[in-house]
Amino acid sequence: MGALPILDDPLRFDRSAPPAAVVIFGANGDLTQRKLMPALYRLAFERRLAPGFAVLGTSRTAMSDEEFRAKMRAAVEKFLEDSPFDAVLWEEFERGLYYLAGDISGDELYTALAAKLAEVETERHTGGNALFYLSTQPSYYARVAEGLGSAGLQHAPQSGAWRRIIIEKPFGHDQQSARELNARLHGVFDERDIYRIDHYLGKETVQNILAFRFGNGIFEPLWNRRYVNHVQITTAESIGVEGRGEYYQEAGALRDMIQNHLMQVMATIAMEPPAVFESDAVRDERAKLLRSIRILKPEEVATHAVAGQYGPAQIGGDRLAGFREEKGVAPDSRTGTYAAVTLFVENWRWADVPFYVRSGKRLPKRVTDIAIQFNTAPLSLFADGEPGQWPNLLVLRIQPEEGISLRFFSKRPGSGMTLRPVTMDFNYGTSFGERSPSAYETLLLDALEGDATLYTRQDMVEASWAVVQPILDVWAGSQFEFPNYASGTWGPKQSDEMLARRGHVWRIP
Amino acid sequence: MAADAPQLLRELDETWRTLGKDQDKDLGTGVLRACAMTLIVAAAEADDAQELGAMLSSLMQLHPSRTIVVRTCPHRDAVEARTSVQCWMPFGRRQQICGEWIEIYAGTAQFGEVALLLLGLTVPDLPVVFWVRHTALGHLDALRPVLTLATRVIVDTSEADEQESALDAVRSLASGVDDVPPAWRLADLAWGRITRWRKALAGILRNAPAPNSGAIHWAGEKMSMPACYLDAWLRSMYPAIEIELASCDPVRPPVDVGRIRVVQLTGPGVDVRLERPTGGTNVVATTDGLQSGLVFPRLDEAALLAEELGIAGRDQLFEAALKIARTG
Repeated sequence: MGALPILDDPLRFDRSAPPAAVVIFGANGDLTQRKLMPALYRLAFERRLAPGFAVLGTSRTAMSDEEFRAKMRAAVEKFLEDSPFDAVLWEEFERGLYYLAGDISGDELYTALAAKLAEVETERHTGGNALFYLSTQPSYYARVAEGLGSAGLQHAPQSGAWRRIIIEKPFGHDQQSARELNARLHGVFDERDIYRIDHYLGKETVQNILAFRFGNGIFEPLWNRRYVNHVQITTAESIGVEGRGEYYQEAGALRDMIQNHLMQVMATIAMEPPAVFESDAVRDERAKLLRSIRILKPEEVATHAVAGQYGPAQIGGDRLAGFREEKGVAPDSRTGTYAAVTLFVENWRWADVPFYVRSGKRLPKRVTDIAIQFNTAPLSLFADGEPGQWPNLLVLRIQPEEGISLRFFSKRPGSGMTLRPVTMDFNYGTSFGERSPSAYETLLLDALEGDATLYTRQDMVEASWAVVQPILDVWAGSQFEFPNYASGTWGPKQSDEMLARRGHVWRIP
Repeated sequence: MAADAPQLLRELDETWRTLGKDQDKDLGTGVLRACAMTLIVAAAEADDAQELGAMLSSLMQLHPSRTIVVRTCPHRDAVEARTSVQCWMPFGRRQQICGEWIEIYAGTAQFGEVALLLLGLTVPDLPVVFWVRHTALGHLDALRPVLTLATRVIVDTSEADEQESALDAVRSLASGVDDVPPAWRLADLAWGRITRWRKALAGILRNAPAPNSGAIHWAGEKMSMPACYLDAWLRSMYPAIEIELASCDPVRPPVDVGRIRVVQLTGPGVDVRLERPTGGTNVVATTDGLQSGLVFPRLDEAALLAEELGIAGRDQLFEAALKIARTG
């Protein structure tokens, strides 16, 4: 047989997945119903799944295949966003849905799973490929991986086929537990087959940072200590812990947001250009950047990191509960619902440029953005002194209105030479009217295709824990006067003071 | 009014100034001017103005442009034009997004004048796309002076009754004059109508052995241009394949439904059949006995144009298929 023709048309075809079975642990849970199943259905709708595709769900709840299909249908109809539900397509799609009940902490499940997976492969022609998605509590990750290993499921039965495992953050609750988790996962799966999902990296606009930086010639020359004064990365949520008090009390803002999502965003902003746009090349650069972040000494933590916790507030006619009054939260909880840190990257590009990173709950609005503040003009030609007050600012908005803004000065119309700051805006939704895929659609398709670019690698996880751990250690032994910010404000005053020490102020996003 | 490019641009500037006065920066209201290209549309006088306007407005939301509609009115003896802006309010936003709209009326005898007018109306430094709507194909020669402005020319042969002459016209546009390649890249919306068929087949046949025989069946008595392109694409991929081409239903469905009904490919170790029931949007794929479902929604001109406008470079697969396309 001669060489097979290349039928793909990259100009017109969207990417599509090879035949595979997706095995979901925790298939009766919230994440499966709200995110995973709608994302898989949407991929089917977009004709991105191969005909040989199946989902095998497992959880403790007893259910037949039919009951599982009915439940998933209800979930997809309810949680599908920006898309119509097609009943005829669903009938085809649900033929590939299977279910197996079992206890993930026992061995029997994995033996039964091996038998069921073989059955599914024969019926659905999945080619021996399997993606194991762990939508369970993080404390079960290692156990499930070892269970899969005990049943020999980490190896595909035929050559050329693959087995991969996806886990969701948090990847450990500190540096030590992250290392332990990695060691146990590596006892079963090779690192190249472990996909650590950080759904922030799946967002279109986070990916657009790479396009913006490395697809244009005019920004990269300015992207360094010579021109950049400082960088602010903000993730603000207007809501509180919303019923997740018990989980959140163990995590806190630094672990929940900064250690993973925001450190990855920072790495994307500050990394060096990769030689090629390939998974390992991009991840090598991200990892290198994370390893270049200066580790704070214990005595530096007080001046470089701020913890906060929201208190109650009266907004309009409503009284909003403080964190310590939330369900599942101890009345004397010392968990931070706000964290801000000053980080420095020790390389030639970024030496001495502060990266201010903050994340908080019950802040005035929901927003995520990155602001790159440039140095002011070396000499102010204009008498009113305004340029120093309003330096050039490049803002990459991730949510809710994705886009890019550049602030610069313009002459105000009239006879005098008065300047006024103006912004030049690019709005992602305006320029590209088409629907953006959800982060889960992007990331599931990537994992099925074997593209790990947007997934976190072990060395990246450990490098980000190395940055955060000294802060956690100091905070564990500190007494905080919590609550220290009112709901609906931009966080504790200590956070403003942290920036003021370097002559900077937080932006109001 | 008589057409004059500087005057038309002044009118547009004045419109922007007026719209800008309503802007309230604090409230985030007002208008945002959006433009990524000049889109010149050659339409016939008989084309339904409302339908065309609605379609181009929806396209503008995906590909904001300065849209210039040139309406061919055979008996008109002067060029006339008018300007406006098309605005839309994205869901949940307070700021309207607006694109510029110029409508030109001209007889075929005035196309030289129209070309000069268009020269002054294209947006600097951005691509110029010329869409020759199906009804205007007969005027291609008259339109040539205008085509020279374009970086991309788009035609649509989907509804052509005479496939031979449609193919000749497309090949002539693609090859340029006296073997000098044209400055524009050519696209045919009929090729875009088979993207999903090609994609489904590519997914199924990715690692499969080469089929040696096949069949394409369509609705309508004469062969459809999309079927003609699909046949050519398959033969360009599998040079040894024998494909049976046949009509399976004399009734020709509306163009947005699509006329291809069955594609079958067989050979040692490969047996694929894609079948679309009459008028349906669901396609059943049968691969070695395993059935699965696909959705092929109705395709309107806006969706097809959006696909073409999303392509920046040369479409070598289309060019290869065009070379070997046959009409029966």
